[in-house]
Amino acid sequence: MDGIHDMGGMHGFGAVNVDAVESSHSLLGTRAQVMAMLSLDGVRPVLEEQDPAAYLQSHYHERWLTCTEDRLVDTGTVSDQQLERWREIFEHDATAMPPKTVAEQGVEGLIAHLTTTPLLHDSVGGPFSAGERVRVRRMAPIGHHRCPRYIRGVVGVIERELGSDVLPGRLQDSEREDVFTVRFDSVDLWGERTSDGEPAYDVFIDLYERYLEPV
Amino acid sequence: MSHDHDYDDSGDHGHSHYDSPASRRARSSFEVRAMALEAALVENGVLTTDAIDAFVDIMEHRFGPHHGARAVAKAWSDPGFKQRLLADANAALTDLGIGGTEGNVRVVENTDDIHNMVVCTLCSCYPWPLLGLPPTWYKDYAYRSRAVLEPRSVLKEFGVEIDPDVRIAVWDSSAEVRYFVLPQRPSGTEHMSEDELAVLVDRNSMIGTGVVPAPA
Repeated sequence: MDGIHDMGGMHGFGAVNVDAVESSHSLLGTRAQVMAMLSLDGVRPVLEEQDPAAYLQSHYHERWLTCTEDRLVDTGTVSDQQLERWREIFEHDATAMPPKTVAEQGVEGLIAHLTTTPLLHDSVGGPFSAGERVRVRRMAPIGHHRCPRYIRGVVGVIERELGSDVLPGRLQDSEREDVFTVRFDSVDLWGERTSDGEPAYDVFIDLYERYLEPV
Repeated sequence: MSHDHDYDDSGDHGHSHYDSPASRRARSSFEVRAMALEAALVENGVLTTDAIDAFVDIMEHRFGPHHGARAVAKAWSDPGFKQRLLADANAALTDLGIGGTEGNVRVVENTDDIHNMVVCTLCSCYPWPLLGLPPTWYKDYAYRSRAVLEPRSVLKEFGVEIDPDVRIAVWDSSAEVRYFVLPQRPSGTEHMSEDELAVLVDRNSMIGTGVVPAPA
């Protein structure tokens, strides 16, 4: 979906706060992030479906927490009543803690999985070669995708053939497709810039075959 | 420009991810909600506490920019390693014992002609094993929106001025490859050991929002 998360090239967010640090609730922020990663089938599709106004107004970890709560309630994994009951407890009893459990089969398998680098697969025969000019398709894709709006319709050059990968939002390995690093000239993306006279530059972005067409 | 080595914005370095009784303060609504979610997931047997603990520990302590700095220092010191790092970063980093989720890495090299910087406009993808959890600004909307539109203005906000003759290359991590910048080795470091060099390399220089300064 083309949601609020697709921010490349937007105006209005002001200067980068280079010294920003997480607010105090980051104490549990990573933990919330980890719970999302361990309990959802892919986090990003869920994050992107969040209400745009809520997305903009919430803190990074809050977005993760909210979407995880929503999705787990929707799927019946936990219930609203159950969450409410625990919130009551933690709000009123400063010594209360979540129950502690230990995995019967141990966590070595999980740790091994998390510390193994996930690599791309060999090419499945994508149609483009390094040096070839390609145009990003005009489209309004439904569901999770990895093709930001700011490059649509723009011509770039294949810089590298990366091999193949599972399509975004899909889990089956059978749905692999080739991925390409494409270089775009800033003039093709944004026109001749006048606002601050930045010299031309390059933007590189990795795109699945289905987002590209020959020129 | 910030040259400090305060790599971690998360603030929590204790053994527990919760407040200790000694530092008890009012729980924020976020904390109450996060604890309730954990309690419900554990209660229903969806997750176990030790699995959550293990993952958090990896994210906050095993991953981190000291790994990236070690790889940079080795690349500066060992031309063969640098060649392998640029050609096949995953193999080269595995040799150093660096890897993990979000760790499918391509290393891009800063030269006299090119300055690389990394962003994720759709999300906040980041090479966790090499750099740890991303800094707050990397996840914020200003950086995500503007890095691909006005990279030099963004760099100026970090105190970084790149010569106009140097071409900027912005890497928008949209798919499953994570980008990592090999910064230029500063002058005056010719006689330094790998360990001494690694101390000079800060996180921002490996994202491309900083450069490694010559030692004072």
